[in-house]
Amino acid sequence: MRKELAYSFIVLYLLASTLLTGCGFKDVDKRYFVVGMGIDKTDNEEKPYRVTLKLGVPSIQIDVGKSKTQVETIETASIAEGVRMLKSHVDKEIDFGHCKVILFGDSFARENIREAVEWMSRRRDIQNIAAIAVGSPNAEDVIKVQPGIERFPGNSLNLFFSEDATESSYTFIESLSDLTRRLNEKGLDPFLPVVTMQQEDKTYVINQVALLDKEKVVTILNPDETQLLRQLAEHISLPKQFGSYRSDPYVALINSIKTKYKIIKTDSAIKVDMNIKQAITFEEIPLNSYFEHPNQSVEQLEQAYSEDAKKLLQKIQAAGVDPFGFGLRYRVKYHLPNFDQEWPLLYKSMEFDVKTKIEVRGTGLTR
Amino acid sequence: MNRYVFYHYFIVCFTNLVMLVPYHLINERFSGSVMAIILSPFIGAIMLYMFTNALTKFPGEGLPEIFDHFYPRWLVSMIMIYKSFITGTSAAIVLSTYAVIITRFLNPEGNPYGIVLVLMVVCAFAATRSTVTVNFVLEIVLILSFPFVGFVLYKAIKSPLMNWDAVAIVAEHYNKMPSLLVIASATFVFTGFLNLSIFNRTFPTNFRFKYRWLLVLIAFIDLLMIFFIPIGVHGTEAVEHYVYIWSATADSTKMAYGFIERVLFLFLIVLLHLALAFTMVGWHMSIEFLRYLLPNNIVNPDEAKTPLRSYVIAGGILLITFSCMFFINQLSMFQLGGYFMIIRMFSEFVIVIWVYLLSKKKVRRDEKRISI
Amino acid sequence: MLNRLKIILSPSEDLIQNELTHPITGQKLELAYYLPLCDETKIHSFITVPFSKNEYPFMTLLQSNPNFTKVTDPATWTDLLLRGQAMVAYQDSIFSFDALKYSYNDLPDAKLETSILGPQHSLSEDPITSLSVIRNAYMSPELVIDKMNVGNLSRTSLYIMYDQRKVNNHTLDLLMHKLASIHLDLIQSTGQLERLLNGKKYQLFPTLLITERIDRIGRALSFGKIVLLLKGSQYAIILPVTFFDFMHAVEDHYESIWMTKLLIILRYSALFITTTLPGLYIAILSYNPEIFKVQLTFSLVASRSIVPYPSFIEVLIMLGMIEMLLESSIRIPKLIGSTSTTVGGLILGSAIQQAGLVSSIMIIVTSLVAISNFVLPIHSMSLAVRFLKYPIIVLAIFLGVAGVFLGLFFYIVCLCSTRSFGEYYFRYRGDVNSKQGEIGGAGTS
Repeated sequence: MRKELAYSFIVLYLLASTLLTGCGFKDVDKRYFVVGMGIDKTDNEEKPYRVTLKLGVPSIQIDVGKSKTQVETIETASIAEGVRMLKSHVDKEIDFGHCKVILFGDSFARENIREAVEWMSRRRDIQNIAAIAVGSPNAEDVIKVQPGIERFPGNSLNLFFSEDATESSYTFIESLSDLTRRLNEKGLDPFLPVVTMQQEDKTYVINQVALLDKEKVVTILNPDETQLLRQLAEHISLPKQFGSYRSDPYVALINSIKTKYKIIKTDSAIKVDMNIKQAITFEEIPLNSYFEHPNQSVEQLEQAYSEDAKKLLQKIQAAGVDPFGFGLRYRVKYHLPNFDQEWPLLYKSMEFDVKTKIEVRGTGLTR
Repeated sequence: MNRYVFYHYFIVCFTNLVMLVPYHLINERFSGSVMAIILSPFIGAIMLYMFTNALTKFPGEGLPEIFDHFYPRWLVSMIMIYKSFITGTSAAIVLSTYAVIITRFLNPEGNPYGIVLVLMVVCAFAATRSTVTVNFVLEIVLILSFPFVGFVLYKAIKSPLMNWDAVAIVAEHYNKMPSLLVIASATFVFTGFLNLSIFNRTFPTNFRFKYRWLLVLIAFIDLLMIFFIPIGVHGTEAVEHYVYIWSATADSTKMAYGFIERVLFLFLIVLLHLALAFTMVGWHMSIEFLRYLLPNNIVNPDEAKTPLRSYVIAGGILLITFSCMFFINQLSMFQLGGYFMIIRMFSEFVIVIWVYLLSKKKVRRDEKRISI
Repeated sequence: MLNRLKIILSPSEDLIQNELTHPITGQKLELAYYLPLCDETKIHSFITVPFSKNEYPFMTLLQSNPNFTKVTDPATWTDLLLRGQAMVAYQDSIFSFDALKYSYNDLPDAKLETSILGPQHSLSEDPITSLSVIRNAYMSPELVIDKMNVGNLSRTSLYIMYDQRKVNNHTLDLLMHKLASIHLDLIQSTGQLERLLNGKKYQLFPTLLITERIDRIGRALSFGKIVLLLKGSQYAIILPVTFFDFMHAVEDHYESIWMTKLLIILRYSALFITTTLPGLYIAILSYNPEIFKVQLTFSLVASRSIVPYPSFIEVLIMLGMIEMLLESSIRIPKLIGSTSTTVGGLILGSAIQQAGLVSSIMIIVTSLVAISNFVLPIHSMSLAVRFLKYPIIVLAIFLGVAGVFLGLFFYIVCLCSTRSFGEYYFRYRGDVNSKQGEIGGAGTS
């Protein structure tokens, strides 16, 4: 009898306590999922942020072109307040759990993105693998674009940034945790892809990358340079497509590329010794040219590639940013206790020495 | 039979590594953590060998019975109360930290006290089972969780975010002297053998400890991985911005081809099971220590029917832990956790050396008895 | 001969040993045979009756009838007895008489546990027939068959079988102790006996295995387990069992090895699915929809958007209907049996989704749960597992995903603390080396 009393007491206790914790129960069709977010700069002094949220409306039919979204915008003094205010504009609960793409407006990114990034990493429901990008001309217009062939709301922009969809050699994918790391690290600087839109087709174009210092965008590279940077920094992002390289009259498709660099410090200067090993297939080459004089085409390509790579590295050096991580590598070998003061000068004086070695896999189906 | 020693070692190793220890180690990563990590396997190995050698002289007996051979009852009772307090507190810290993690990630609008209460009731129920049952539950939970832990570690190492330069930079600070807190945190990982002070009762009389060096080796590799991987993934500076460092690291990887994309949820579920198992073992040991104080105590590692005193003691531990939750918030939990680890390190040294000396005393006493 | 036989064979109820003395001529005849294996009418008409009538000298009968064979080697006695021969000792010479009775045609078909390649018959309700089949399946002289009566009014005879070399005597003592403490008037079925012999009253998992298959009984006997057979019931009880015995079908030993290993993995996955899937549905859809990929979530949202009430009500409605369907299909008369499948399939499947009462994902979840429940081979375990999902649904409603796995942990604790007549119920074996001791000092090897 006593045992049964004890058991029933425990069971009642359990039941009573479980009733306290059901507050989180909210059905999935009472939530609005945020599928894209944009942060812009306004001219208003008191309300400097303009937050745009793209909410996915659930619909019964999943078919091409039937996805519906709703866009909400608000101007606020701080991002957290703005999001809370937007909750009162819609009839369902706003859920950031599926927010995989966050855009910064062009003018906003040229000022200071640190606060926004800190807000994002503090929130528990924004995933660390969310993709961040710069929207040009401003984030609101890019977010408002509704492609005609989308199946799921917001899916098209998502797929640009996920590895199992398009694998383009012009796209850099930057996740939130990588951005936080690069903003705070001593010796590594952030980069962000730039999203523009094509008004006639209502689709997105992502083929440029923006380089940042610890706060703001410093320079934006053009598509060719973006592709070259992609090839040189293959360890940064995951998609394994490297694109092609042109040096008249040859166009070569790069199958695989591996970059190794060493930092050598002599008394006079610091030198970066970079060795690139590539395996290519020829896409455009004059007929029979490779089989008759193989060395000539390879040498020309190697020369041209090394020069272009050196020019790009020098351009990035002139802008004063370091997305490769030369600073970090320098710190490994030669300690630098006072990094923030000493490194910019050292970086300005670095010399680059690039050597390329190309292995030809084939010339396609014809000679 | 030897595998149960491995399980007890590893539950302490895995659970503590992702709860309290990384916070203190990463706070001081430029001033002494690496040296502490290098020193700790030696300290851990010495303690392990001393304790297990001592236990082979007392087959089938737990700590209360060992002390009972030599000392009067009042002294042994005081030691038992102290040990039960230490073990119960470490289990309670792990459980409440995990309840806070649930409140952050999985159920942000739930009542945190309610969640903690339900978790504690389940653990208290599991802790009142017999010693043999607790061994089996631990085995099953570890076998089920181990592949997932390995998967998360593998994903983190192989992700493209892993930057070995940052790891090299931190590792170069090995010549700084560590503070007491950091040594206590690092050696905390190697102290799984103290669970044997109760679970020695379940081992048969001809049991011998084998492969002890393997225990220390695996725990050391684990400690290395769990200290350096977040530094590689998050860089040397951003890593101290996060409160729960391993949750953020697990969240930075991506399972592109499944239907669950964030590795974080897999990691949290596995952590739930590990935390529950650890708390169950810790509270079971507390209950067994406190049962020594009550009269008419029968020691049976495989009890068919749990006596009422176990339930009463479990209820008492539950109430004390729950009421402590009201006074401690997230920040003070980390600070108090630090002090607790230092106290625990010293008391463990004392207990290990004491038991070793007692075993030597027993050998001398037995030889004297034989020769008479 | 009978004295010698008492030493060689283990004592059992069905071994008939008679010593006949003719009152007039004073001749002695010793007779020994296993009752279930032999046709008694044959023995009577060829041995006992001529002996008592004494019309011809008995020795001529023994020597002239080809059914009698002279036996010279005592080592073959047990073998001959187990093959259904009766041993006759008369005037210092020993003969064996072939009286084997094969009763495989009287056996009913196995209904609960079917297999494709194994024997298709189950035990029968006549205990002698069942005993004969078991003796034929397990031909060992070490097999002991004891008999006792249970039930104060019904006095049903209960046969206890075990291999006396391999059995664990501790378990046997526990069993005898338990049987002696049963004070009930009527014991009519094996299920009732199982409820009485079970350890605790409110336990979640069955600790005795009820089976009707002869190959499973033979295998259990060879591992040293005890088998109980009740007169009037075609099911036998095997004890002590572990959890893994319930997950193992008899076909794992007959069919191709790789496929059976895969099927064992499938059974464990089915166990996990049937317990946690309804709870996970509620927890993921209503607490943390960000667990799934975004495309999957939108598909789920699309199918849930037609349903007006929250997810747990939907789950409870569908599960309730499935349970009613399963219960009614046991009791429905055979003539209307096909209607129930139509009703279940059409109404529960398509019509309820088109009416907008239940989402299509829920239909898939329910049918998965129902199907995976019946992957488990033993019926009593399958019934026990059917209950397990309901507490997990309650935990999922209030606590979300953490609640589901908390419930799973609680079930693991309950499983590990069950003991089946002293044997550890849920324990990962590994290699148990008999040179090292066993943990805790209990359990068999």
